[in-house]
Amino acid sequence: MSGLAETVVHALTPGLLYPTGGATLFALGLYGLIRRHHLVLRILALNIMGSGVFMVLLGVAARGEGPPDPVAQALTLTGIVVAVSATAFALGLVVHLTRLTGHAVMLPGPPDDDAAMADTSRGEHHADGGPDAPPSDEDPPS
Amino acid sequence: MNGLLVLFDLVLLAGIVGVAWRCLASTDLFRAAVLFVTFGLLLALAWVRLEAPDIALAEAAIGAGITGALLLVTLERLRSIMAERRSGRPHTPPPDPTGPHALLRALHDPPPERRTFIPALTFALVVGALLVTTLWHQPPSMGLEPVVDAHMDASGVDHPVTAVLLNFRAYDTFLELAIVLIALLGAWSLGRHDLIPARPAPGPILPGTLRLLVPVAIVTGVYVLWAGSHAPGGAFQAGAILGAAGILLVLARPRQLPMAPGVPLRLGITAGVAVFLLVGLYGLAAGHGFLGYDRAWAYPLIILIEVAATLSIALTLVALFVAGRPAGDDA
Repeated sequence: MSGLAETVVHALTPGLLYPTGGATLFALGLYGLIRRHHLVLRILALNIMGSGVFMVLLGVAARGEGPPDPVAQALTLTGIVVAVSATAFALGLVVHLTRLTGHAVMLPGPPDDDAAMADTSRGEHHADGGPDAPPSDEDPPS
Repeated sequence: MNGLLVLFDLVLLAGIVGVAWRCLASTDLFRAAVLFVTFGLLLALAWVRLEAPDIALAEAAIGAGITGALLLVTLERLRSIMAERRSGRPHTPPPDPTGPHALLRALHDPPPERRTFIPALTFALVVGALLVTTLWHQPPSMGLEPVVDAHMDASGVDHPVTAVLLNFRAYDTFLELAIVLIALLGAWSLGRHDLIPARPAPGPILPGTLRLLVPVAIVTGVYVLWAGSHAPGGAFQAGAILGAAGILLVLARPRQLPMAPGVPLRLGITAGVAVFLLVGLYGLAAGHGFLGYDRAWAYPLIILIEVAATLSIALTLVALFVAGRPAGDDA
């Protein structure tokens, strides 16, 4: 039994464990991206998917003997900076969308979804006369 | 010893996946943002375990720090916008989150509907299983480490990651700086910035701490930049540290943002791309190809590019945090 345990421990190298963890994070982010409606949560889901990709890259880079692959590390570093820029821009777009429509929720297609979203913008008075956009109406006020 | 390391890996991975799961499952957006920062810090630990200290530095400063600040200020902006729309008055301060009529509902995402559960789960499981199977059956390879190692003496620096970033694959880094610039242009195209909707009177502690913290951050940033040529560090990490110091400075005076002068700000923001492009064109003219360096001049040119890139990244991160063009310039 101890021989088997030793084999298992030797098989579980970081080069195997971390790519698996990265793939799990990617799948988890994908799941969250599909299921959540709020745009900030969707941006978080995309970021988690991106972190999963980074983990796969770095985990594969750390495989084998010797120092890890510096090219994969440099690519990941580039990716992190690109990810934060894209996230900042996306968050700016969310703020802008909220300013225009009063909500920051990705709109589902079929109408039966509306009941599930107790949206904050509906049924309220807007003194600025802006259109009280229901969640199914994406058009910004002209 | 080996068994303990495997245990550490398993616990760390379980923690990372668990925190990511709680983050995506939370209905309160503030909670999700805080969990995302935790996620970034745990990732930094994982990067250290994978012998990638450069990435760990960048993840702690950018992935956890700057992204967290961006998320929290976005949530505060959303609350402020919701409060304005409710009251019909501009510049309504968002209610105190601890108050009885807190507007937390605005930052609340109801749990997802039940009918998307099975399709989403199936899709994610299939994609995840395919990825895991592919990764497990990948043939072992040495990667590009021997190639990089063989050409290190031609790179002008002693740290392999910096050599790849600024010499061997300088084109990627150049385009990356361009993407950072484009992201800022996109954010600026959405309009002028408004004041950061912080509650007034943050108290004397924040400005007092800043007086101690900002000089330390500047020294750390410059050191990390300089260290990049021979040790983990470099332009991105230094830019992120300096950018974080800038964000703290902005936060200390939320009601009176500094009136950034238009032309110097724009020069600083484009400095990274501009210097990189000029050096690249010089290489083209001198016969080394675009972004190729003369071997004797490689070190000073890399340092020059890194200084410009650090300045640009730091300024861009602060500008992305402030969001929107500076007030008072019509350029």
